[in-house]
Amino acid sequence: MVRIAIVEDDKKYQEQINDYLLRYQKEFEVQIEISTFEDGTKIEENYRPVFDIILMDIEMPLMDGMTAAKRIRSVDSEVVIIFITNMAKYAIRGYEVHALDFVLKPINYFMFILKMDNAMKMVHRKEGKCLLLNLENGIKKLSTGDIYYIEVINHSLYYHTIEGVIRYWGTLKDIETQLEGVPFKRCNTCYLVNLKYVSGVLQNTVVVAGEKLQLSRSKKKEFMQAVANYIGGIK
Amino acid sequence: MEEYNYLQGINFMLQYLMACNIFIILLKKREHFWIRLIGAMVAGLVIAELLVVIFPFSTQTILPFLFWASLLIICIPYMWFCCYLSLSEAVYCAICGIVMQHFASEFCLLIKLIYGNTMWILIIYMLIYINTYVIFYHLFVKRLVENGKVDFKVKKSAFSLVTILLMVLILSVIKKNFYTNDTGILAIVCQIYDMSCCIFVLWVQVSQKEALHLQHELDLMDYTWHQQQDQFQLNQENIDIINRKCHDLKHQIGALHDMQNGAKKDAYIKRIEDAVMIYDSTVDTGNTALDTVIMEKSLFCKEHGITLSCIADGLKLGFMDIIDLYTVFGNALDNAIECVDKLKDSEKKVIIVKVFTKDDLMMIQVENYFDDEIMFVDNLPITTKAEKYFHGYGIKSIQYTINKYNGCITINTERQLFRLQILIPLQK
Repeated sequence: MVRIAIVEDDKKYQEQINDYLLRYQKEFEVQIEISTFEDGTKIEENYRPVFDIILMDIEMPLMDGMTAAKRIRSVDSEVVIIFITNMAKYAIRGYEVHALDFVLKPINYFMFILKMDNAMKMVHRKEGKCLLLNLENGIKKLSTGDIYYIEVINHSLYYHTIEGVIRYWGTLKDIETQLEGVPFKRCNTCYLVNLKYVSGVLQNTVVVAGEKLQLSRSKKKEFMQAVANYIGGIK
Repeated sequence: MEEYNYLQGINFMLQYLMACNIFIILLKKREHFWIRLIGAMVAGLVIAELLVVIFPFSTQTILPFLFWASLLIICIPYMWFCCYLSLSEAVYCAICGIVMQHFASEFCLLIKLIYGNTMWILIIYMLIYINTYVIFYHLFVKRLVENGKVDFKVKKSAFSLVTILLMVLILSVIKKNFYTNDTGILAIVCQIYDMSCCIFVLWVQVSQKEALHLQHELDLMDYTWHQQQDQFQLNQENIDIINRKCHDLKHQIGALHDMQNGAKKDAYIKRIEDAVMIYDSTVDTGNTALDTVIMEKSLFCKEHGITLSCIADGLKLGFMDIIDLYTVFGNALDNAIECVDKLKDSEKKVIIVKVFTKDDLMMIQVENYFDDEIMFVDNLPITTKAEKYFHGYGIKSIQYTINKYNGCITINTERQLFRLQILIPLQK
């Protein structure tokens, strides 16, 4: 179930977007729940992070979309925001609030669903997997989204995570199969990297959460393509 | 050279390594280069000397072959350790390096054959080596190494490289075995023979490389010519559009003069505004080169019923050369326009351009729907029709440009959606 908010003062567009979403839901067989707001103030007041995607008009009488988006961003860093506007010029400023994209009025259906599709991929990407690690002091539940990278030394795996390093028995090959469908990729024989935390690529190193890891020549091309597909929102 | 036999290992290794260094001068060096270079040189010299001490060789056995071969093999990791090279590139440089060394050493022997042992012989040898290396550097090495990289085709160079190995490692050793005591004219001819071979082999490498270059330039010129023609047509069309709009505007403003205030006048003003809107497609991405490309293509798109959506953080594109930006976006958009122009469903004629960054990674994305079959060769799309050669070339020239920035291209096609992605790491 994907929760979508439409923030739009113009009734005509409100209905059109609603229709498009219903059509999209039917064609692509996704479950959508739509909430509609007439103004920026309506959604921004008492905002709770329950939405996956917000479709936000920029020109609205009481509070414009940009201001509303800024306020929403300050409490919800996850939600995907797409602006709806008839002025292309506003688009550039969308970066200030990490907007994913903008849709230009009049709205073309195919343009709209293309952008919705990207937004959907972003939403689904946030759902990671959970690993259960049988540690000495009990079972540890580790969300894949919290892992920076996994390193293998001899026969031990070292999970470099947000909370620190966890040592565990296993091989990279096993963990690789366990992590199928989650964006992890090897950058050389002993590192399995969470693409989410890749912040740069230098000549022969990858920067992962501030650490530089060796990028092997034979894996470079494949790794770069995986990063491209991840950032581009394909996987 | 019997008089300084005890340092033979170091002596020959030094000659080889110096030849490698001639290449290293121009290659892209690794971090802590000087430490690596000196460390690797010392290690190489020690290993070579140990080899000689452990396996003292007489010229009558198989050992000399192995000795020369092991010197060559030391050169390969040596080059790899100091510079950013792949294994095959290191092998290539090392082999070309030993040709230089071989030429110099044969030259020395030639002098010795002609003049015999004089008291100046060591100084003459030194001069020969230095001059050979310097001259070869200017004649060959400079042309083989470009932008810190050696660019060679394994298939094309393999034959020459094998020839070199045969000459240096086997033929010349056999020759030395036969002619050690012969100082006659045949020995001199042999030396000259050998030296000419060295020059010839390197010259073949250089000319091969230049031929490759020429071919590429020719392709590029061919492509540019075709693009200029398209450009001309596009400009013509743009001028027509603007002329037509201006003509309309003139009439509308004329009509406005004679009109009373009121709803009708407002409607008229609205229409004029709409007409002027063709210039509202003015994009402001923060990068003038990108603005120009988008602007130019969007006029064309408007006229052909194509919706072009662009969200670009142009400020981040400042590191790219204007010509490169033009090549990348021009080609990518031409590609997309050509694709969607053929679609029957006019609603589907949409193109989305996105430029954004995630930390130190920049992403350029162009998406559009497509209809016809796309075939892939080397992970790059080609189209079935012969005329589309230029279209395929467009992607090639993007790839060529992106390589300069260490970027990578990916192309995905799913559900009739064509997605070109370019990832470029940003340098801090």
